Amino acid sequence: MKTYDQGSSLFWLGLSVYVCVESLRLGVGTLRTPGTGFMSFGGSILLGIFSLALFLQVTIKKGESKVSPAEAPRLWKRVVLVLVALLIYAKVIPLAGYLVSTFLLMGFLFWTVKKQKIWWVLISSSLTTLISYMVFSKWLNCQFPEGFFGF
Amino acid sequence: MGFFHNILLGFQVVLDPTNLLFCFIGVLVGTLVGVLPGIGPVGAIALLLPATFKAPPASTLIMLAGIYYGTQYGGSTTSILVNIPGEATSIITCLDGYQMARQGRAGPALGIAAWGSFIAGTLSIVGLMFIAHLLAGAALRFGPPEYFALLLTGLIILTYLAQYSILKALMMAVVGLLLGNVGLDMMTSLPRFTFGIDDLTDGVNIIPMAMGLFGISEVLSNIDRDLDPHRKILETRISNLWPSLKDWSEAKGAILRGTVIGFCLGMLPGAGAVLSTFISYAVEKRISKHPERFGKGAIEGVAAPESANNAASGAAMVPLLSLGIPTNMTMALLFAALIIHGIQPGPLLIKNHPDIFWGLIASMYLGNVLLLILNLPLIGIWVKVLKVPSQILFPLILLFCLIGAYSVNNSGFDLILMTLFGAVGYLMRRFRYEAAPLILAFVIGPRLEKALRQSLLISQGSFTIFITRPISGIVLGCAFLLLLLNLFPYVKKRRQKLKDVEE
Amino acid sequence: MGKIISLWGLLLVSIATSSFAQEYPTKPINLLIANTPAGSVNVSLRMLASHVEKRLGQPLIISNNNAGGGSGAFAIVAKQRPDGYNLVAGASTPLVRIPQLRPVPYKFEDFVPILHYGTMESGLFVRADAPWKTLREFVEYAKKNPGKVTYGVSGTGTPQHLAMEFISMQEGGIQWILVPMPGEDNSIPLLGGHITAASIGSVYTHHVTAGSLRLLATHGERRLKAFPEVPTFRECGYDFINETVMVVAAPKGTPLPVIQKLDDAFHKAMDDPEFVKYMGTAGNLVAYRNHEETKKYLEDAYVRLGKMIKDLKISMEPAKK
Repeated sequence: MKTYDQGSSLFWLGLSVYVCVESLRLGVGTLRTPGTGFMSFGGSILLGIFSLALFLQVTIKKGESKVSPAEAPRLWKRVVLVLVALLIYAKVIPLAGYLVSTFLLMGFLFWTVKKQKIWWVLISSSLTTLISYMVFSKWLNCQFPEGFFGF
Repeated sequence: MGFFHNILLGFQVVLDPTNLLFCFIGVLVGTLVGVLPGIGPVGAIALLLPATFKAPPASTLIMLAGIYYGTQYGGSTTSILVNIPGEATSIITCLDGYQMARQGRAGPALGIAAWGSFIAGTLSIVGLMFIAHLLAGAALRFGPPEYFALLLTGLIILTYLAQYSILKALMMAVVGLLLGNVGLDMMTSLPRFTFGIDDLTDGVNIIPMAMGLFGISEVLSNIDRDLDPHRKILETRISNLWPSLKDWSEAKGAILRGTVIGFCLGMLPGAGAVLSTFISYAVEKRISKHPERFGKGAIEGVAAPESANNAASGAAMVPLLSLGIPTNMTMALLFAALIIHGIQPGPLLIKNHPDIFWGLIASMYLGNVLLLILNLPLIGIWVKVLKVPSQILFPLILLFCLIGAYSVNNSGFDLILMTLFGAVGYLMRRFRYEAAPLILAFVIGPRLEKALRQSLLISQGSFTIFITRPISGIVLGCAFLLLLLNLFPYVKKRRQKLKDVEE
Repeated sequence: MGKIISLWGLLLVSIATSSFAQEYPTKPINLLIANTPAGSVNVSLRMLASHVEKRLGQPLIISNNNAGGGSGAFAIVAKQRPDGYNLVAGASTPLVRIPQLRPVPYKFEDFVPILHYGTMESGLFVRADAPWKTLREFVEYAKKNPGKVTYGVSGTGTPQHLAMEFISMQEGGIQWILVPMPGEDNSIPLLGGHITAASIGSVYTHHVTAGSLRLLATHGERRLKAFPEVPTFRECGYDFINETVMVVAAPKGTPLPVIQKLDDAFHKAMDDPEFVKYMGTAGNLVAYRNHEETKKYLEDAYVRLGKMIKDLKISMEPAKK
């Protein structure tokens, strides 16, 4: 947990530096006449201080902290895959339309989350896609994109 | 007394079949809208507004109001079941509600949420009836400095929500504030932190953010290990469906306090309802004899915010009906509805159109009863959702989030944003940073900034404006005290440690 | 041979476009409204839409997009096909004003206006218990008391903001303080007495009717029907008008016959008595100019605004003045 906290606090510290610089560029104004970058400047300073404090607190303290990190993820690759799939979905949906993209995505998700037989995957993803389409698009009038294929 | 006459008039209006129907439709749509992600009361009312052009004014208002307070009933459902807040006012409910669901107590959680909503909703109508005209003026006294003081207090109270490290919670709150800065500067209308992306001109949208931080990250956190085929969201068996007597005894205080807090804050412009949810939660945590239970499934943690948000929705009507001032977007829509039907909102509304005012009040009583009747049986169905095996449930939750995020703006960018927040949320969980302070600070941040800058403009740069004005001075004083109180235990502990070392 | 083909081609094309125009519309038309659902622009358009639908025989698929004060909606439609099935409507602000104040992904020239059906009125309001009964009194007070008058606007760069700057410039510089009040709860600062005045849209007139506020002057070309005793800025000696109109437009390149058909349909829809009544209650004026006149009007407004923005040195940094 210690390294986790050290690493993450350094990350936030870096972020705060970036925001600070950007706020200065936007114009902080004065305390009496706050400018565009005022809040973000103040916020980045605070974030920087807190991150530094966290880093120091963790580094200086002896012994392990009471809070343990979450269980080590053995399947972090799966997490990345799902995230990538979602990003691809976001890009593909205006091109291929809701029905096709969702079908593909659900198929992928059902298969990834737990390996199933292929026919099960295909059936579940088609069912889900169709039902969700019915409910949200037809009944609730959400506007889903029509893709290249016209549906 | 004139009062009974008025109330009778109100019920006469409501018992008209058209109005009954509209009331029912309104609360039904409201519940649905609350449960579904993405579309909120604003979206639903905006959609239905044109359909009401030809309808009678009383019926229109009854229906639209029904949607509004109905949403506050349904919003807790997804928060409790799958840790996804349907509305900004349901974020706090996720904290303990979801934990209760995991412990097999989804039924009691949903039940207390429904009952709390009912009690709070009904009591707030009583308040609306009797003290509306007295309190309406209070909303007007809240100018930018007062609002700033209040929001600052809210931010400080946010830190009470921290379960793990307060320092990390503070960091997340600041990050939330910074995220709130993305978009057009409200005073100069110039873009900042948008990286040239047009979709970010209006800032980060809260729905994709909430879906990502809560929903997607939750799913990801569950699938990063092998799924035990029997493992579901539940860790234990589902116990009973209704809140037990013990639950009631614990929650009743929370419900009442939540109602009062929600009613007082709901009258104020802007984020009054959201503020009230976490202030009521913080209050419960503070006065509880076992604050460590909070965040692990304390029923007060569900009862308080759910009561608060319902009371707040009733209170929001006070400025609108008594003074003609809309305090948030939904009220602005109701305001528009009044104008469409040729009714002038303002102090004379009650006098000139008593049938509308009292009819609305009566319909709200009826609506709350209808909502209770609607929601309680649904609990049995909702709880079954938790029994769905995870390999089916998780992809469905992802789809649910995707549709919800997409339906806000029909924007693929929002989906990308949601996914990014999902990744961030996942990492935050692993590194033990909490998402609630972030998203709440995100909601408060822009308003805080607006209030600050407006105050400084009015005072021409002088900070004394915050102290010389009575309300803002008092509120700030309380905030300062709260801050000190928070630090106090640390100081005590250090002293104790030093003493121990000396001995 | 080539000549014959091109002649046939020309014949075919002209038949196609004219029959296209005659048959238009053959499928539902998308109308994107660049305004918030609670706004008068949105409501008035939807009222008109129901009549337009009947006239054209095709449904109008309406959606709202309020991003960036309306600029988001215009940005979207600018890129859509100019086939007459994609329309945008809203205040003329995103067309005429916003591109001159900050960078947006479209230009005024990317659109062809179809008509405008109303004007968005605004004025200068003070509380009913304030000591000033006319604009002149108010301005005199402000001149004599620098730094004491605060006025609210819904946003910087809006016509209402420019109105105050205009007065200031004409009077040789007045030291009053601008307080931007974005958001739907912006009636509170004035009603609560936290600011002295508000230069803001006509939706506040219902407070005047209710007796809590007083309208000193309006920014329009004509006096408001509901308040015939309130003078316009021009009548008070300040040659300023709020040029914002409620406009319907299509992407550039939309065929002329289609434009004319739409123009006609919307114009006839304006006869709806409910529409007229609503516009009155919402504090707006019904006013019509057809597509050619609207185009010219907007072009003039564009130039006039550009000059005003330069003259008044409206920089988007109120603190830097």
